[in-house]
Amino acid sequence: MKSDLWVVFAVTAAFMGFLIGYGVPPVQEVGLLAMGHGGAAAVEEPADVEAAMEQQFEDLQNLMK
Amino acid sequence: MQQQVTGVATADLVMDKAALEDAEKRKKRRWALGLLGFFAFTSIATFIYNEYYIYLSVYLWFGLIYGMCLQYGKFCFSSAFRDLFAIRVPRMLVGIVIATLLFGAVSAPITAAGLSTFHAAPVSSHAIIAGAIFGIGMVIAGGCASSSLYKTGEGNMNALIVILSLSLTQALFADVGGWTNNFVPEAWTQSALEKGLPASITVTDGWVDQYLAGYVWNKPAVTYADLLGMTNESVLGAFVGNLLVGILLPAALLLALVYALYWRKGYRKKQQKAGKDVSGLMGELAGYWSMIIANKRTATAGLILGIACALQMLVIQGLRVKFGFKNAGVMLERIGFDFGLSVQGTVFDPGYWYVTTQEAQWVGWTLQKMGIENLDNIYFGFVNGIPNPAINPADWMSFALIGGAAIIALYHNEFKFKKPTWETAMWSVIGGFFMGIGARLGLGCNVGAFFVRVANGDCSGWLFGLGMAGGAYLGVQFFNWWTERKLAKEMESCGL
Repeated sequence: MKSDLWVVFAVTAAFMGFLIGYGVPPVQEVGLLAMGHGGAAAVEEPADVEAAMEQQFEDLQNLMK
Repeated sequence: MQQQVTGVATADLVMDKAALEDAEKRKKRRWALGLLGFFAFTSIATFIYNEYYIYLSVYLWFGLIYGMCLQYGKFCFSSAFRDLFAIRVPRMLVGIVIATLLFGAVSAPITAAGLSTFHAAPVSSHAIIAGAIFGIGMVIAGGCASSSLYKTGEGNMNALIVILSLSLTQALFADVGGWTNNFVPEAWTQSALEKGLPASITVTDGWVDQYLAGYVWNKPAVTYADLLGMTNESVLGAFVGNLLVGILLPAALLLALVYALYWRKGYRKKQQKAGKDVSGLMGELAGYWSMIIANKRTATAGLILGIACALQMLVIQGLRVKFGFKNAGVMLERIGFDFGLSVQGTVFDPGYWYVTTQEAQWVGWTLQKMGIENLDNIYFGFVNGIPNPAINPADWMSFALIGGAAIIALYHNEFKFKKPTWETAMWSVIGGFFMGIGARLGLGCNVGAFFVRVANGDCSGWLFGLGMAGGAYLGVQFFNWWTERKLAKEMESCGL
């Protein structure tokens, strides 16, 4: 009966594992995981992604006005 | 013969009682597994329906972990200060400080890697005042913002009243205008107007609006790394500036103060009684260490909380990169939910553990549905939005937090439905009210304005904590006075 609690931990760990596995690779792919560089200096792409996002927000704001 | 019969009957009774207790425990565990199954089903079903829902599931599962940790560690800021000031027991406070330190240690590499979703808050005396109001409230309410959530998961209905009062107060306070405008300094109004906010935000009508745009936004948002001229997203800035200078040193000093005032005397007395030598620096260090490890349960919960908080930032950042947005408002629009977005198209999406804003949001959403305009203020209309609670990321986190706490409470046989009395309900409402005001003035609660900020090197975190300690002290004094007065009245009515 006591070992039931491990079911809770196992299910939680399984979901967490899936979410981490799903969420972390994209930051590795764009080179954001670069300790000490704040991500930005690692590769060229993040700056473009950032700029594209800023543009997207500006467009969105203009639409809302 | 009669004695033998009585003995057998008693044994049967004991066995029946044990069997009943066992059945009750099994029932509670089934409920716990049912809750877990519900969260698992929600995640899987929504993911199958639309991939974007995984973003909400991240909030859900991290919320579940926060709830489990809070319940296990009995992580309560109100208890921490009440125990310290009322009965001079520093265990919980020390546990919380250690937990904050551990969270900081886990956050530092995330910040250094540039993956933190944390943004520093404006620094000024407002944080101290807000913390003081919040501190008074949490002592009166008998629980802080986070512990009210986990206690609700334990079946404590007083805690639920605190949450309701806190939520309602925030939503109303953020929107109140009219006569409150008379208390706004002219300089705030002018400064707020100069910000050029969209026309849909009635910035000159609303005390909080003018407080935010005319005062708080003018204050610098700095971290300890910034103060030392370092970049947050660097090893030096994250580890030396934020972790060492911003967390480790102040925490060590605070613990030394607590040791000197509340722990040293008792520890030395106990050791001397046992014939142990406590003289010299080594004796003091041993005493200091004994205080730090006195509350392993809270510290362990804090370590897991810290790891979870940092991991949440990492995963959320990853999903933002994957889906190509910076805020969940864009995602909600893509999946067809455009009601309740702010004028910027955003919703509250902190990417880390937060408590109070999502509570205000669901009240804001309800009021909006009842015909009370809420999107013309800065808090909802310009920044956080009021999305449907069913698809609000941070609401998924709070809901799962209550569920996570319930699961652990059910397993440890600590779940019990506690009905409030009129008196306790009154204190819960009053306490929740003060906490709501304090949370909006300080832009967060004991979690968002203290725990997360301190751990991320934000200079306003310790200021809010300082105010919270002062407020809690006043709250304890008030309660002592109230209890003594009540006792005196009762004794008088008994003719004593």
